[in-house]
Amino acid sequence: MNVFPAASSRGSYWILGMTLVILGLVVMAWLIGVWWLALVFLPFALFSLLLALWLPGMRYELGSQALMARCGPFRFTLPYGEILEVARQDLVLNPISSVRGPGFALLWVPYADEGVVMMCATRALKDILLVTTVRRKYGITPGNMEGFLEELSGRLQES
Amino acid sequence: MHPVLWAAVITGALSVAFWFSLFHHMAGPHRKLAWVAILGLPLSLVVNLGMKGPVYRGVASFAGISPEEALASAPVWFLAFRLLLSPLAEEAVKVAPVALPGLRRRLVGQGAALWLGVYLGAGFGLGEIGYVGWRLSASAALAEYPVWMFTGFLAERLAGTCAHGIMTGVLLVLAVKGRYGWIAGFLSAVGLHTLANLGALLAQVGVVTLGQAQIWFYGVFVLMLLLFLRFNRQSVAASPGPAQVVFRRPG
Repeated sequence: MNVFPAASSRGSYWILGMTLVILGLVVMAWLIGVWWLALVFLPFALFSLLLALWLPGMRYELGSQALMARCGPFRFTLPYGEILEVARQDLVLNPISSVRGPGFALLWVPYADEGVVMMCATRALKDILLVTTVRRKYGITPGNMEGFLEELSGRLQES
Repeated sequence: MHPVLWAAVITGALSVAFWFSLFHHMAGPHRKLAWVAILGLPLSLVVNLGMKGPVYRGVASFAGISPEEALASAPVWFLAFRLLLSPLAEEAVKVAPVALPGLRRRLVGQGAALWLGVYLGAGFGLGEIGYVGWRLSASAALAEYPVWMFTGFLAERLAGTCAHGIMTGVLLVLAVKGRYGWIAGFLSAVGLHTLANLGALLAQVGVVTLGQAQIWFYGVFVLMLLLFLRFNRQSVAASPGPAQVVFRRPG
């Protein structure tokens, strides 16, 4: 199995900044006595913090049967036999957002050109490797794009 | 400097930073049309001082209504005129730069039409921030308030900048669609604009409160955003960007 780390990004810093903002809201809500609002914000702060920790470990594994994209507890398995197309392209922003920001895109992310793409990437728009399978589209951003493509192409030809 | 002018400067800066960076990522290959926003900048001043102001005063004088008079006692036809004056005048003037041969040539396809309109309209909206700020700065009463009291102005003008862009975008998208496209586009833009302004007029007449008018405006703005997203999805699908296909399974 060959492991390719995702391209480096400043996504973690952005997410940490977001975490601080949400924690600030938690503290403000608590201080003014609206404790239920603090409890609503708290899970978001926790998720943001975990995301910042998971992001640097994002990686793609080329196994014997499938490509696996991983980020923290999230794992996406793409069997080679189910991959229809692999294309390198820029995606067009749809402002209806999900888990996406500068330097990161994770899970279901809507795009204006490709619709909903399952992202596991350290870039949200530029130079995305779009993998179309029989079920859905996935977006990934290996650090060593050329090496990854060479290896992936070989395995896809064999499948 | 008058606090409302500071608020206008902050609102303008936020509008450029927020909307234009968002448009930059959404427009794809059409982002190179962003410069046309500059053409829209002076148009608010032109239409307000050169067209709307004189026409409004003229009709008010004809009706025997003082322009400063409360609208609650004005006849219905005058209210309708007031409601329609801004949409008719502004939608016409926002799209006027398209008459320039350089811009006319670029009006090919839904994507170019949408973004040409969005950038022209957003430029108009930015100019309108300055114009409204300048008009409000004539008020000595407002000078006593600190700048942070103008958050209502900030939020409304921020949304207004994008709304102007969307309305002109809708106009041009429909304009390139068919024989009567320009008429359909103009009427649609005027319709959206009228809908957005309706709450404010009803508040001036005293039918609804100012808070209800604001809720109405933001509701219409959300509808406009949804329409904009739909048009943008269609235009992007019609002209996909370049993709380097690395692998394609035969069959």
